Amino acid sequence: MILKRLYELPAFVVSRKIKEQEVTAEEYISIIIERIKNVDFRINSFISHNFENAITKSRAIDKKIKEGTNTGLLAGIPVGIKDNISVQGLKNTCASRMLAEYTSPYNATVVSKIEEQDGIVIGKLNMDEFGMGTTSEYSAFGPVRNPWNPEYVAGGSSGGSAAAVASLQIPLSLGSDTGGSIRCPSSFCSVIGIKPTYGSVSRNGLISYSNSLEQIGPLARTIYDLVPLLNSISGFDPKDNTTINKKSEYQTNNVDNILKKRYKIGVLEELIDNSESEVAKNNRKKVKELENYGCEIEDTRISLSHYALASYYVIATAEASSNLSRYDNLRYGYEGSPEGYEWTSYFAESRSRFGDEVKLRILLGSYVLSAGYFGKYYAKAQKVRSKIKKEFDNLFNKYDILLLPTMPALPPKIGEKSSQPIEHYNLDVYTILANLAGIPAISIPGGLSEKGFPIGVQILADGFNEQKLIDAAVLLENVEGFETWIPKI
Amino acid sequence: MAKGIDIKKLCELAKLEIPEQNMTEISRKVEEVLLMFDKLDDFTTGDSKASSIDDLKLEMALENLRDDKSRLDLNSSDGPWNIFNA
Repeated sequence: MILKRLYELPAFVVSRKIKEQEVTAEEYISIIIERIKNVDFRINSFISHNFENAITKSRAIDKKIKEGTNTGLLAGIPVGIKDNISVQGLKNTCASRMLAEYTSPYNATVVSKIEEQDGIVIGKLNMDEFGMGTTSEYSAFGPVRNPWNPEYVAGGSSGGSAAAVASLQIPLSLGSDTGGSIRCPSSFCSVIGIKPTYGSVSRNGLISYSNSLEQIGPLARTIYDLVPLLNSISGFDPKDNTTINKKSEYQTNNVDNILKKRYKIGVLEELIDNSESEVAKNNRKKVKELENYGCEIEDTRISLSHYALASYYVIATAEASSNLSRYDNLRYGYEGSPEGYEWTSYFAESRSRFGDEVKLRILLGSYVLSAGYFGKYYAKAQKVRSKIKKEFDNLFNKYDILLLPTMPALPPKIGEKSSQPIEHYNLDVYTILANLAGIPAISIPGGLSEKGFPIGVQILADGFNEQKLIDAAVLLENVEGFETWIPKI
Repeated sequence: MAKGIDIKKLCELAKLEIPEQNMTEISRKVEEVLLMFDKLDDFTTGDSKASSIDDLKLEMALENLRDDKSRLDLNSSDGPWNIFNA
């Protein structure tokens, strides 16, 4: 292969070449930087770059290899980081004017773990402001554009994380998923993205939107790249008291070994049926592929899904209003003097830098948490959440995994849904289920619509059963080799 | 109920400044979303308790999210937080 087109190869292949000294980490990083410069002005997936540090780091890795020192799982591989995850010395804007000048003084635990495995942070990725959105249009730095058609949204909120990977700018990225923010853009951009079990990956250093729902997770073009990154970031962290000491070493098993496990798959047919016709058709094709492997398939349903959206948005906005109350321009914020202001008006004025969607969610959260409405909305939403969790517990007594579409629709045009909150929120209806239940979920590329838009299939498993999701991804990737589906940009 | 919210008082509660020209738009959106939240009225709770998600380790008790101030009663007519017109 011509060296210049190294960016087309999966990360695990390039990493092997680097370790075997067929190519240097510095050469690879230089090619990646060139690729980002040539492509990203059309996609807008990066907010900031870390090119100089990346080159320095790559030289250090080359030196280690030449000296025969062991290198990590991600040796020489560039990783993009969503701009709500802290990287020491880099801006951490959360795509907000509020934090436009904020530079992180420390690394998130996941970033330290990537660096321990010799991965290289290449830059920070665009997103919906504070993770609040499903399209990556609500960014103070402009919308992320879908590499398959730049007039359409990339999905969100981790739109930059998916679009940068899909457009072959980087092989790996990190996103965060509060209600589908990894899986939605993975589906819209045709990459693979996983939301791990709540408590399996540290959130230390993640700027919180909704603590009880969100998780950090990896995105990649192939499951064989995703697993090393997931292995790198998973595990207990003393700095995050919500993490569980239950470290697993995930594997990409071969097909024969997976089939020996005789997975029983529940298909949420009602949700497939309620999707746009091309999404439904594509997901049924994926069911057929798994059936052809000899997996046992059965239709099933989740009865409370129609309450899930209200429950999710009540909890998410309540937690958002609590989390974002700290942005008062004293503890966090931007350069500005309180001189001449009365306290309350200074606080309110300084918060005017939030974007409209963030303000809307703060208002909603303040409302549902207020004493008169706490029982009506918030307490009830928690009860729905608890019932949904129990329903999943029962389903996973019967099935190993559940299959449903990632998104009910194809990507909308930029601007099409941004002023209609309910239409916008309805896009999350299939992804929020996993966040409410705290279970792992993966979006796997399923194919393309007639007009060339990606469609994703979503697989859910019981808590800490990510291996089952990985096995399902291996089976589906083995049929179509989706890492070769590349947008023309 | 979603109708009849005094959006200015809600902004005060949330410590947010919304420009006057955006008030109508933001009121529309708040009311639209609260109507969606009202779907929870149809949910019958049975014996389900909020504490049954205890297997999730949370940083903060879900009841204590408002760490910036004590919880206020939006229905009270004598405080500054009565956000209803009526």
